[in-house]
Amino acid sequence: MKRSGLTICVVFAVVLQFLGVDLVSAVELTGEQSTAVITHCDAIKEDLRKVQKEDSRVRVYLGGYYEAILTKFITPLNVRLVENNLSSAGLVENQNKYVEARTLFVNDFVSYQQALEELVNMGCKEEPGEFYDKLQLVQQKRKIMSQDVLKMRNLISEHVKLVNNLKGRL
Amino acid sequence: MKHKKVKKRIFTSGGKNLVLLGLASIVISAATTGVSLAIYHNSGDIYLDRSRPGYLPDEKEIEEENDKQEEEYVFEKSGKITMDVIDEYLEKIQVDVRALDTYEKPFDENLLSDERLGIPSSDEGDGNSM
Repeated sequence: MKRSGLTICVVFAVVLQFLGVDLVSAVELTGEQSTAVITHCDAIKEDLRKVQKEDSRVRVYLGGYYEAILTKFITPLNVRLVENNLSSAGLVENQNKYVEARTLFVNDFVSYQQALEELVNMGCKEEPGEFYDKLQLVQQKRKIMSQDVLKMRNLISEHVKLVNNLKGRL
Repeated sequence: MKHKKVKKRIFTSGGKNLVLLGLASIVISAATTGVSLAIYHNSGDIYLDRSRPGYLPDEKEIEEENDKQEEEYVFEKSGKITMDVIDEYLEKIQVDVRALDTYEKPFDENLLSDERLGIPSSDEGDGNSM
């Protein structure tokens, strides 16, 4: 009996996830927080719009350099290394990880921007609780973006380190 | 009676078909535009597109982009690999890496924090849950 109940719950959770319903545990809003959301509603919305535009600019700036580093440096170097029989498994693996991380960066950005747009279009005065839940989701997605940028930077550092190590083989 | 005759002249079968054709083409183009916009929005391409109003790059960005294109460097896919080649490679890639690092904290979490938006944290509150 317990087992079937658990199965139903799991199936229900999977269906909700499939339908795009976020299962983020909503933190209840205190009275003071709710008042702050309603009072600062317009200012919060203005800040969110500014962040939305700035993030779009940052995405283009970073994305442009990520693309340039891949197409102007990493890929041609690996091709040339193969030609010279100096191919390094580490560098190829790094390239694959880099491509994956760049795709993830773009996908996470789209997901973050979708959530941010929904938040901007929500009524913070009418539904402060739901607005705050959505804000928390956006904060989580922004954190993921920050982690993605860090991951990209680490992969670039790793690539530079591997190229430096290559000098020892020449 | 006269009036009926005039009406018949205006809406001949050819004229009627022409009006229908015009209306049908407007409906079809409106529907296809709607579908295209829905795909553009739902695929997320809209968030990657900076040519939409309000997101266009400013003059400074355009100048930076032009400068970047002028200094275009691409590592050759063929040729011998020597110490000098690797040194040049590392020197050139550092230019792009430094440009990336000019953004100190991209997607800074604090920019959207509760405190920044003027919302007190739950432990600061009065404890009255809504």
